[in-house]
Parts: sequence; structure tokens; C-alpha cells
Amino acid sequence: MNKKIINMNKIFKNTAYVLAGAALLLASSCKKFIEEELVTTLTEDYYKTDVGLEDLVKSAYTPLQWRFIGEQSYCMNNFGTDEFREGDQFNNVRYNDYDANLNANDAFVNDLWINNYAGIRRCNQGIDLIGKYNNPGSTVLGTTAQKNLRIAELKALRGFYYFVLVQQLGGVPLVTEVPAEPQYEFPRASVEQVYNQIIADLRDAGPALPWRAPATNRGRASRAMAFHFLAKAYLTRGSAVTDKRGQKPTDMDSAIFYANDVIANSGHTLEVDYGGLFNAAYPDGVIPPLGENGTPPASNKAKIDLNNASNEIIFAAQFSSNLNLAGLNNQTHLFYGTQYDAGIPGMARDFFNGRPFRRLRPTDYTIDIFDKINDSRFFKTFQTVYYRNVTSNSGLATWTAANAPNPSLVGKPRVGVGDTSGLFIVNPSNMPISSATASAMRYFAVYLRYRQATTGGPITTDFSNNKYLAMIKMNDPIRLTNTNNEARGIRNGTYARLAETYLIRAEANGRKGDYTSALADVNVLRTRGAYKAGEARSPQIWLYMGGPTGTASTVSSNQATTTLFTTNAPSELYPPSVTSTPDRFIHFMLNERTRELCGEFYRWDDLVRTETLFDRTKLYNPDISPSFATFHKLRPIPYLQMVAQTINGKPMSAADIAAYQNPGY
Amino acid sequence: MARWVLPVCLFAGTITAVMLPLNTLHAQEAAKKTITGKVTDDAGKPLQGVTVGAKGTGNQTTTDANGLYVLKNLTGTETIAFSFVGFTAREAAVGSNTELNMSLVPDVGALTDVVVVGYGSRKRTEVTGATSSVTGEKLRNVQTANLTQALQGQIPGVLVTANTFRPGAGSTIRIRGNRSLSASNEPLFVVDGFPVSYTIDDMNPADIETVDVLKDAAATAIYGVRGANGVVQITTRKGKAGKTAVSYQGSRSWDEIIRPLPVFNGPEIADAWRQAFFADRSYTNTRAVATVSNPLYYYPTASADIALFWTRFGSLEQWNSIKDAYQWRVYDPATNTFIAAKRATTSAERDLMAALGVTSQLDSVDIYDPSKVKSYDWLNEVGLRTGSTDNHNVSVTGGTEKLKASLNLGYFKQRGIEYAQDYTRYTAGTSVDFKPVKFINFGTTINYTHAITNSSTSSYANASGMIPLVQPYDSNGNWMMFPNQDRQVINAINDRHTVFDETTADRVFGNIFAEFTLYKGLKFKTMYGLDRRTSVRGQFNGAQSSIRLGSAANATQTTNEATSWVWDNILTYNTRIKEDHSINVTLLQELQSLNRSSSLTMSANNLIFEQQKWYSLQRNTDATVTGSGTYSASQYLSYMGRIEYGFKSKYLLTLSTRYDNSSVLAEGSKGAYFPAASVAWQIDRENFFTGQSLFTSARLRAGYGEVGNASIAPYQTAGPLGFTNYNWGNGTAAIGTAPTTFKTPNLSWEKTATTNIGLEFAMLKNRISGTIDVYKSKTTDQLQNRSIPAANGVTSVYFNLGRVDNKGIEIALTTQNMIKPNFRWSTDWMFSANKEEIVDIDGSGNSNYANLWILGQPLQVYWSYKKDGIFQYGDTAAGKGSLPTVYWVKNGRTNVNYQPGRIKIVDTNGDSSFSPSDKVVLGSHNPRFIASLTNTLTYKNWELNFMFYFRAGGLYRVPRPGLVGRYQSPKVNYWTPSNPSNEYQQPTQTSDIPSFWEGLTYREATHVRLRNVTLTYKLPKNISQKMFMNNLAFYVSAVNPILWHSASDYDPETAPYREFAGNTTNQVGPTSYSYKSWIVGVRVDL
Repeated sequence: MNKKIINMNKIFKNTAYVLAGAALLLASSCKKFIEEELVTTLTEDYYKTDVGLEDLVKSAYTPLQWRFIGEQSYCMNNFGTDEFREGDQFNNVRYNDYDANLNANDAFVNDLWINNYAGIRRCNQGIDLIGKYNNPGSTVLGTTAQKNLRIAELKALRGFYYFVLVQQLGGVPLVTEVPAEPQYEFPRASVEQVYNQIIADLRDAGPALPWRAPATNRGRASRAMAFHFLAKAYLTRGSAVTDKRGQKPTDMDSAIFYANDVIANSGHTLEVDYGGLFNAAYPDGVIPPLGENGTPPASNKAKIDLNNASNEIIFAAQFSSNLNLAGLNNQTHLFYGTQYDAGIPGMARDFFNGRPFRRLRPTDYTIDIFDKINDSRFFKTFQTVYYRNVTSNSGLATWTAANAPNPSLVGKPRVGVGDTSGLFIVNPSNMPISSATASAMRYFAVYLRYRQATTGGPITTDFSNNKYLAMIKMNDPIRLTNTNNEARGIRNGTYARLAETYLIRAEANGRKGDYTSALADVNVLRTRGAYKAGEARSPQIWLYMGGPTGTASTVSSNQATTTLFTTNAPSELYPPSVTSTPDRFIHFMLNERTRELCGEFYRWDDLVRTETLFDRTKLYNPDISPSFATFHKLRPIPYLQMVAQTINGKPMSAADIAAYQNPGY
Repeated sequence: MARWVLPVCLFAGTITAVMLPLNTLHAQEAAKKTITGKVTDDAGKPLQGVTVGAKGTGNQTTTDANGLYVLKNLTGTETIAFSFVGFTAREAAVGSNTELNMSLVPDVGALTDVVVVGYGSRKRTEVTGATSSVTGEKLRNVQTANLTQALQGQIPGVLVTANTFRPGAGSTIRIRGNRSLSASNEPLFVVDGFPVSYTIDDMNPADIETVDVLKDAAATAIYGVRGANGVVQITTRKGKAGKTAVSYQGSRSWDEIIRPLPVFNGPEIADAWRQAFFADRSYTNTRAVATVSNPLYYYPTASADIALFWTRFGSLEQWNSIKDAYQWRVYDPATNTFIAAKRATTSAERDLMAALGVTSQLDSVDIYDPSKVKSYDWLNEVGLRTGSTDNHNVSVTGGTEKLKASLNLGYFKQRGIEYAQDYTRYTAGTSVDFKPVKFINFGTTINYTHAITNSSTSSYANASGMIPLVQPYDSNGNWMMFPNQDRQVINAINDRHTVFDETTADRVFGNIFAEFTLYKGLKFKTMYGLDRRTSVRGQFNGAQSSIRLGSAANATQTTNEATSWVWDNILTYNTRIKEDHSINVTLLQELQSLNRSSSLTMSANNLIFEQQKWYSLQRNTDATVTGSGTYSASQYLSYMGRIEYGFKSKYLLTLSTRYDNSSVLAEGSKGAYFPAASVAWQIDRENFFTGQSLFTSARLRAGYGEVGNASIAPYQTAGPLGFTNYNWGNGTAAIGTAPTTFKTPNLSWEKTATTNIGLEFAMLKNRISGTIDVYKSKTTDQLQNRSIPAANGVTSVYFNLGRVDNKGIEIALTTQNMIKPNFRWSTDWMFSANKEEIVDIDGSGNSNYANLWILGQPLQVYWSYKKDGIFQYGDTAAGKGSLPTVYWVKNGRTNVNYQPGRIKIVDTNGDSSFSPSDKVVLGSHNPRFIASLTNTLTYKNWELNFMFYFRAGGLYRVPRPGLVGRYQSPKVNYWTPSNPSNEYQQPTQTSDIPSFWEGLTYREATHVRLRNVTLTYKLPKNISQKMFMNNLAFYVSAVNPILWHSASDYDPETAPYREFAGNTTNQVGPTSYSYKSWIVGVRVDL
């Protein structure tokens, strides 16, 4: 018994010691126990290092991708303009119709706001922290020059992000510093203030940047980028007649000065061939002889890489072909295609022709504004031929004894693999093609722009919202993976190329009345866009358009002259309200921009800039709805942002929101 | 006369076996004798109303107020059974005794059972918090794959909603509503004293002995930060001192869908497509918009049908299904000549067409007989199979006072009702409890689970989207990817052979403990528990699948490793002072490493060969394997103290406080105290109680407590950075880091304070017993991931702001409806109602619509357009309709959304136009109340158990039909010029997703379900024992056999909550298919 008690006591004692010891141990380690260990996560402490600041700068570039990663691309920039109307699948038709569904609840304007302010914050934070960073030992941010270079990049980006915002939304909150804690009061700055900030940032940034980013860093902001957008910002501000943008009499001179600097000194050069910018979308291979099979057209990644690396491109959102770096990637290749994979025998969806979302279809204005005979840009912009890519002959029309060119072909398909299955003929309205002619063609499907069933009968068109001319500049026949429906393209998203710098300088000169200088720049592009001697071109030109046969140079016949805008030239399709030469010149420049830049996500901004959005869209876009009004020159301020904000410490009332909102919404 | 016996006996299998006397198989005629005795409780207090009877004879009596009984007419060979509500029944042989005294111990599962209260267990009479219990036996009456499903309708205040009905899937548990806007609302599961960090659905329900749910803060506060959403305590089967018991339970079920999907058949889809084209004026010979030379038709017309069904996608097969509905005068494909027989139109038809502007068919229309359209039933032919479930469990328990051990083995295999979906689970568990000397007790429990979940794409969902005019196979029996040649209509039935998504999980959940009795009543216990789950998920998409569409295969492999551990040190002191005062003190120190987890995902496209699945991913033509990984960890450090004081077992007081520190919160705000206090009054021990006969027992509880919640993702407080992908032109990676939020150095706990009052009672000599609880909880300092103006550069920040209230009532009743010697009928009633309300969000008095947090509404709120119907011609009629004057033209605008056949919503803000500002609160996903009714009827060796489950109120959403003239669609009554439906809009091929479609999707979720019917037959003892078994029972059961619900064609439980703040094209509605099961099974106790 005794022994047991002793044992008990011993155990009790021992346990007490163990407990006390454990308690002591724990007390000292407890604080540690509940500290967070950062393993795969970083905090803002990382920005105290030069590596962290470098990474912050890199992150300031990613918001550039947003424009190209979804349907916002065409919605906010090409829908609701004179250039494009609706295809037969239009989920975001509000941007073309300007109906009640385009309102403050719209996801795209909210995303634009979030995206650009995220970029602006990264710029603000970098400008602040890099300026304060002091560590001469750093190899990347040790010197003032190194630091100034990065700060200049960030200022250029900040200017760019505000430029996008001010064109879409008007005056927006001007945030140039990183708040220490969440802010709720964000009054809108005036448009003038925003332009002042943009111009100040771009002017600061330019001189500190190299003319072009080094090849290993292609995609970074450069002096050419800063000055290109500076010229564009001056042109935009100075284009205002009724709008209040803070325009100054010197704006055109400034635009000319900086555009000139880029053209003369940046080292960027125009592609020799317009197609050099987009030829990844053009087919490789040869058409097989009648009765034989060839290979369906294809493209290759090298062509995309070359297109992306073109020295004409001044600034572009970079997209990677590396799955590890991929995000949503460039999806703009989806939106312009026609439904070639249904209704055209011999055609199935493939990589080369792309996945047709059928959102956008060129308007008649867009088709008609090109000189299709002399200006190669038309056939380099639109796809008129679909080459057979289905290998099975089942169900395909065959030669019969009655129509076979030679007896050996009887029973063989009229079109072999790799030969023309579907053909879009862009004949002018005064040269309609008869139904009999069309049905005698050997192609499986022929779509005539102007058809005449019977001689002298009514003229109709085969072009529809399902079968139309597909714009192929954005086509991406490679994409991230070779899954049939892969949406993630690897083409970079171009924001600025040298051809536009020429057009900026041309317009600024013309706005000053210097039409000679203006035409000189326009004709640089027209010379480039003309057919070179010996250059292959579509037989449509002589078969159905009345153009010359052969492959002679069209450079001289493709030159612009002042008569195009000093007179009411029918080829320029001037709106009836446009009567004076200065006005015609503005519209001529818009026409020229269509010819050069059609579909490249500038149009809506251009029309707003030139205060022509309402008139031209109403005139040329047949799908526009009656609810389209002049106030649509601005997008709505996103509702979600307004309800998150306060005024004088109080949530915004309905009246506050109405006052904050752009008129009309 | 209360001739009844105990309703439920928890340890039916084992205890009964242990206690069964092995003699006296049959009675003999002998001299009559009388036996007397006294029945007391374990404290020696006399028990009144105890049934005392000779087994198998009907000869019985009850005890008087002093616990005394007299039983006559005995032979001496009988076994005397003593039974009383709330106590474990006992038996004893009469033998030569003339006096037989008996003491009964309180029984689990009744008013006086043992309850696991957290860091200890107590008799129910000692518990002061709101807890409810259910036995494993009861849970197993409804055969389910896992615990969370089994809990449905079993415990008041516990809302169980299925996540999906895929094999192996569990349910979401909400105890007394949702209370957190951004932090977790998941309850804490505790198994044998150890918090579970990963899914409880890995656990085999057969291993469960009891489940105790701690509901109010007074009960959960001792779990502090993890107890905010309630605690589900699970006790597993353990060895017991006494005879070794072996039991086996096996079953097989056949499963079939409850609500087959309604879709269009051949003639119906043909009509819907024609309507869609007619609506756009393109039901014409060429599908182009109607012109003079390209006339528009309204009635089926062969030439337009050829354009629509044949040449559109080039599907001759599709057209052939339609073809025979016409009578052909000439049918000559060689010359493209197709002339159908015609009939004259009726005057009604002519009037209609004239009104519609159709001029082409006025005199005659093609003869068309829709009954001759061929139709293929995809859903039944290739969408579903009969599911099955095989379930086998073996349990061995036994031991001595010094050493107790158990072993449980389980096998569960469920083949889903959809193809290529199954779930297999192997479980093994063992526990040892060793008491070598009186003052030391140690033991260990280890549970291991190996579970394999397989799925592919949903065969039923795919079949429901297929066009009934075509078949899945061509004439050679080969699978066709695009059966009607439309490349958007993909036949996925080959996916069951080529698409795999397999998750293999290994789970080890175990603990080890040692308990020392240091001094009389003073005990020290240290315990360490580990929860580790590793899983490998392989996803493979073969080339010939709906995912790859012929492109080379791709695959992904993801491995997850997660470990949590808990180390508890508990000191308890238990004493009585002068008999009247009982004191129980508990002190705890606890360290928790919560979910230290990492994952690694590798994926590759364009695999070279397919049989490799997700192994050897480097074999791909891209020569690229992409990978990503994650890591996360958080820790808690806590101290807890609890004092329980009782006076004369009549007045009970519990005080506790817990101090929790969490690593996920900011420095300086990591710790907080969570106090709780509760009292109980054992009314039946008062003198005045003996003066009445209505109540048998009564007990009142009240409690108040505070608990915390910090279950947000780790690393939020220091301003975490996000990684951004970019690259420079030559392919150089430019991975950046960007701020994602602001630093939140003041981020602290979310706090929930709960007040609870409960009454436990038994009345009418225990014929009715039950519990009523009312409660109110207030959750403040909400941890919110709140939207801030994006001009800050980031869009959200964590805050402690806002308040959510919950209040409710819970009632559980058990009634003994009939008690006859051979027949018993008892009913369990359960009712609970909870009202959840967002009281404050940010102090501004404003709702936050971006997050769908609306003041005065619950969390899962439906905020959308209110359906008014479909615009009718009358609406557009001159002078009287609302359209022309109000909607159609406003400010010079016309709007295609306001024409006849389009969706009409309620213009709630009265601005004469439809816009997002017309959105209103339509309701919530939460039920107004839930209730269940479980009946158990026993007749001799037969037992029938059935349970009804009610869910009243609340909304859910049904899918948007695809009325676009291209796809299959749920069968709906759509508007046409000749069918002025108010249910769904006119099909149109230009409006894939019509404006305000959301308004048509809401339905009342009220429904009643026959949750379970089970009929059990127990072989008579004398027969089973001849077969060397103590018990042998067979049962047949039906789970979810009947659903009463008429608001839609769907099972409301299959539609999870989905609502969107902005306009969206996201589809809503059911995401899985519920099934009913027919089960046969056997239970054996050796």
C-alpha cells in the first residue's frame, strides 16, 4: 500500500515537472507557433528589394492584355461604328445597338475600369518606390539611370492607361499616388485635367526611354511608344470642336512634332508589304490541278512570330505561346470569321480558317471604301476563298459528262482537297453576276455580292449575316494548343504601328490646312498598299470587277490626290452633311484609316475623337437601333464603382450617382 | 396502462448479445410463483413507471412511486425484463429468486443519455448547453454513402443540402443558418475528441456509434474559434469489456433517377425549330429572310423543312426522321425534286396566316402528320443506367476491464446512375484502450480510408442536349461525334470510354492519448491527433471525346497532401463537497496545426499515345509539361478553462472561457477571449413536481456564449501579392508581382454571441418526450472581403464590419403511440425554423448589391427580375395595351425586347422601361422551415421504419431553355402566335439568351420527400441461435422513393444556389440527378 502511494506521489511529481517544463517550453515557442510563414506567398515587403521592384514593373504591363482577351475587344472598339455590323451570333449586341442593355451595369466598362486602375496603381506604386529606392549595390536599380528608365516606363504606361479611360469614359478620377489605406472618395477629374496628366506623363517618359526596347525586352514601353501616343493624345485633344477636352491651338503642331520624331528617328520602319503584318493568316501551299487532291492550306508558327516581331509595330500587348505563361491570351481571332464550316460543302472547321464566332461582319461602307483593283489591302484584309479541307468525297458534287472539262474527270469531285470550295465574289453593284453564271461555276458554294437572277431583274446579294467577308487580320492559325476549339491565340495585340503614326501626322497637317504634307504621308501608305509589279492577286479583279488582267504595278493608280476631298468624290462616300473641304478631309482621313487599320480596334475612339460617331454610324451601320443617340459618345460609368464610392463620407445617393454618371445613362 | 417497452436500444447488436442469457429456451409448465422487488436508478433513487415483465409472455406490470413491483403467475423459467424510457433495459432470470431488485442506468439516445460535450462527456442531466444527439443505429436506417447525407432530417436545427448526387458526394451542413458573409459557415466535425480538417465524407457511417450536435455558443464556446458554426461530435464504435462481439452488415441497392429530365421529342423539337425560324421571318425555302421570291411559311412545309433540317448542317439523317411525316407525290433526290401532297387550309388557318403576314400558304398547306416523325430517346437509351451500391461492414469488438479493442472493416462501392461515374471506399479502423494500472489509461485509435471517385462527363446531361431526330450511331454501329452534322451539338457518349476524372484519396485519421489519475478526482490527459489526407486526381481527355473533338489527348495529374494535427493537454478535477455540491473543472491547452497543405498539378496536351492516361505526361508532341503548385498552413494556439457546478443535482451552472490565437490574423489582433455561461434547472427534482401527473420529467436550460471565426484564407493580413504572367517579345518570361489588396493590420475575429433557452420534458408517463429550443445569435465584426472602389487599384479588402442575425426555434418530440405486447408504434417529430438576416454591412445602412448582401435578407438571396409573363398581342393593341405607349416607344426608342412573344417582367421601379434597376428580392434559397416525421412500427419480429422529410419555402432555379432553333431544350410551353403561353418566350434563332431570361427561372422549393422506408425481419432467437448467431435480420429498404413537388419538373435539391449580381449568361438549375434506391440487406451478430 505504502509503496503504491509513494509511486503515486512520484508519478504526480514527475508529471508536474513534465507539465511545468512543457508549459515553459510552450510559452517561449507559442508566439512563434502562431506566426505566419510565407512560403509560396509574397507580401509588399518584397517591394523593398530591387527584384521586387523589377517584378512590380513587369506587373504593370499585364493590364495591356485585357483589350484582347475577350469580347470587349470588338465590343468597345468596333461594334457600333460605321465599319462593322452584326454577324448572326451576337451576344453583346448592346454595343452595336446602343439599346437599354448598354447601361451602367455593363460588365465590360466595369472590367475596363478595374483593369486600367489596377495598372495605374502598379505604376503609381513603382514610380513612388523606385524613386525612393536607394541601394547603389544593386545591379538592376543601383544607378539613377536605371531607376529613371523604369520610372519612365511606368509613366508611359500610366499615361496610356489614362488615355484609354478618357477616350471611353470621359473625365475619370485622377489617381497618381498609392493610398495607404482604402479610399472611398474619387471625384471625377475634368477631361482637360486627364489630358494634362497624360501629356505630362508621356512627355516625362519619352526622353528617358530608348527609341525602341531592346530585342530581349520587346514589348516594354519605348520612346517611340511614348511619343506615338503623345502625338495621338495631342491630335485627340485638338480634334475637339464642340467637345471640351482642353484643346489648345498648338495641339496639331505638337502632334506633328512628336509623330515626326517617331517617323524620323525611332528606327521603326514600315513593312515593305502590307501583308507582312498579317501573313500568318494567309495560306501556304499550292492549288492542286483539277481532279487531284492537294493539301488543305496551313500556316506556321514562324509566320506568327515574324508578324509579332514586325519592326512596324511600335507597341503591342505581348502574348505567349508558352502554356506556363499563358492566361486567357489573345482571343480576337474568334470574332470576325464567317460560318465557313456549315453550308459550304468540303469545308470543316480547322485551325487555319479558325473558329468562327460570327460576331462582326463588314458594312457595305467598309467593302466599298477600298479600291479593290489597285489597293492590295482589301484582299489582304478580307478572306474571299475557302480551300477545301475535308478529305472525304462523300456528298460532294462531281463532274458529269455534260460539264467535265475533260472526260477523265467525270465522276470526280469538282473541287479537290486544297482547291477552292467556297468563293465570295465582291463584284461591284454595277456588274451583277447572273445566277446562271454562278451556278455554272465549279465551286461548291459561291456567294455573290450582287446577283441578278434574270437579265434586267432585281439585284440581290448572297452576303448575309452568316455568310460574309471575314476579316482575317486577327486570324491565328497556331494558337496555344492544337485543340480544335482552342480560343487562346498567340498573336500579340497591337496598340500602335508606324503606319498609324503617318496617319496621325497626316491628319494633323491636314487639320492645319497643309494638304500637301498630309497627302505625302497618306501616299506613303498607299504606295506600300498598292500591288507591286509581278505580285499575285485575286483573279476576281479582272473577272468580276473590271480590273486589268496581269500583274502590273498599281502604285501610281493607287495614289491619293486632293480632289478626293476638295470635291465630293463618290469613291469616298461622304455623308451628305459633309460639304466643306476641311470636313471632307476629316472624313477622308477616317476612310483612309479604314483602309489601313480596319478592324484593328481603333474605330470607335476615332469616330468619337472626330465627333463623327453618331452621323457615320447612323449612316453606314444598318443594324443600329433607333435608341442610338449622341450621348453614346461616352460609355456609362460603372454602377458597381459608384456604389462602392462615397461623397463627403456618405454613400452616393441616387442624385449623386446621376451627377457622377455620364449624361444619358 | 403503460404497457410499453423501450423505444430504441442503442447497442442492440452487441449489448443484447452480451446480456442474453443462454438458458431457458422454452418455458415449462410449473408451479406458479410471485416475485417482488425494487427498481432504482444508478443513484439509488426509486423509479416509478418501470415496465417489468416476463419475456415472451405478455405478463407484466409497472413499478409504483417507490419503485416497487409485484409480478405474479411465474414458473421460474422466465427471464424478467425491466425497461423504462431513458434507461437501458436490463434482464434477469427468475430462477429461484422471489425478490429481484434492479438498478437501471440511463440510456444513450433518450433524455438521460451520455452526451459528448467537448473535452469530455456528461450525462444528459448535467448538460447545460443546447445539444442534440442521434444514434448511429438511427442514422443507418436511411442508407447513405456518408454521414452528411444521413443527417438529413435527423436533428432539428441542422439543414442538410446535397452538394451533388454524384457517387460518393456528400452534403453541406448548416447549423442554425449562415452567419458569415465571407468567412466559412461550415460546422466543425470532431471525431472521438479530435477536430477533423478534411471531408467527413471519407468516413464510413457504419463505424458511427453516436452523433452529438452542439448548437449554441454555450456548448460550442469551448471550441472557441472553430466552433462558431456549430460542432458535430462523432463517437465511433469502441470495444467494451465483456464478451467479444462480431457483427456483419451487408446490403445491395439498385438506384434509379427520381425525376427524369423533360426534353422535346422529335416532333416537338421540329416544331420549336420551325417557330424559331418563323420568328425571324426565315422559315423559308432557303433559311434567308423572307422576300417575295422566298416566301415565309407558318405551317410545316416540306421545302422549308429541307432547308432547316437537311441542308443547314448537311444532315440527311435528321431530315429522314422528318420526311415520313409528309406524303410525297414526288421524292427524287437525284433531281432535287421534292413535291409533297397538300390539303386545303381551313378558314381559321387562313385568318391566322393573314394576321401574321404569311401569304404563301393561304390556299393549301403540305399534309403533315407529326406522329410520323421519328424520335430517338437519348436520355433512356444512352443517358442512364441502373445504379447500384454494394456495402459490406464487419465489426469486431471486445475486451476486458483492462484492455478493450475494436476492429472495423468496410467496403462500399457505388456505381452511379450515369455512365462512368462510381465511388469505391475501403475503410479499416482499430482502437485499443489499455488500463494497465488503476491510475493510467492510454490508447489509440486509427482509421484508414482509401476512396476512389471516378467520373467522366455527365452522360445524362449530354444525352439531354442531343437532337432526338438523330441517333448516336451510324448504320455501321459506329459512334458519331456530330450526329446531325452541327459541330456545336456534340455526341459525348463515347466519353465514358475516353474521358476520365479519377480521384484516389488516402486518409489516415488517428490519435493517441494517455490519461493519468493524479489524485482523487484529478486527472491529466494528453492527447495527440493526426489527420492526413493525400489525394491524386488524374484527368484524361481522349481524342475521341466531346472535350478534344478529335484533337490529340490531354491529361492532368494533381496531387494534394494535407496534414493537420492537434495536441491537447487537459487537466480535470472532479469533486463533491458535502454531497450537495458537485464541482467539475477542466483546463486545456491546445496547439493546432491546421491544414498544412501542398499541391502539385502537372498537365500536358497532345499526348502521343492514349493508354498512358495521366502518367508519363512528358510523352507529348508539344514536348511541354506545365506545372503549378500551392502551399498553405495556419496554426492556432488556445487555452480553455471550464467550471461546472451543481447543487443537489437540481441547479447546474457552467462557466467557460477560451483564449484563442490564430496565425491568419494580424500581429496584435491574433488573440481573443470567448466566454460562455449556461444554467440548467432540473424542475422534476423540485418538490412541487411530485404533486402532478402530467409531466414525468422536465428540465429548463439557458445559456449565453461567444465564439469566434477566423476561417479566412491564410496570408491575408500582410498585403499579399499576386503573380502576373507576361512575357517579352522573344519569349522571355516576365512574371510580375502585383498588389492584390491592402495590408490589414487590424484584421481580427468575427464574433458570434448566442442566447439559447431550452426545455426538455417527458409527459403522460413518458408517452411523449421532447425538447424545445429557441435561440438568437448575433454575428458581428464580420470578416468581409469587401468590394472597394477599383480606383484604389485593387478591388477588395478584408474588413471586420457588419452583422448577421439568426433566430429560430427547434422542436424534437418522440411519442409512443401504441404499446402492446407484440406491437409498438413510436414516432419521432422534428421541426426547425431559422431566420437569417443581414442586419448591417458597413455601418452605412446600405445593401451591397455587388456581393448580393442585402439588408434584412438572408445570405443566399435571389435578387432578380420578377416575371410578369410573356408579351401578348393584347399588350400591343392600339389604345389599350401597355406596349405601344409605354415600352415599345419611349424617348423615340424602340426595343425589340418589347414585342409579343418576348419576356415581360414587372416594372418594379415604375420608370416604364425594363432595366437592371427593376431587380428586386424574390426570395431566398433557405427554407422557411424543415421538418421530419419518422415512424417505427414493431410487430413481433417485424419492424417497419419510414421517414418523411419536409422542406417548406425558399426558391430554387430551373434551367434556361434553349429556344434558339438549333439545340435541344428542356420541354417548356413556349409562346407562339397560335399558343399565347405566359410561361416561356417565343423561340427565335437570333436571341440565344433572351433579355430578362432570369425572371423565368425561379420556382418555389417546397417539397415533401418520403426519405426512407425500411422493413426488417429478425429471425427468432431460437432459430438464429441454432445457426450460431445471436441475431440475424433481413431488411428491404427504399431511400427517397417518393418526391412530392409540383413547381417544376426537377428535384429542388439538385439545384444549388446560384445568383449573380450582374447580367449573366451563366446557366442555372440542377447540376446533378437525384436517385432513389431499392435496397436489400442483412445484419448478423455473432
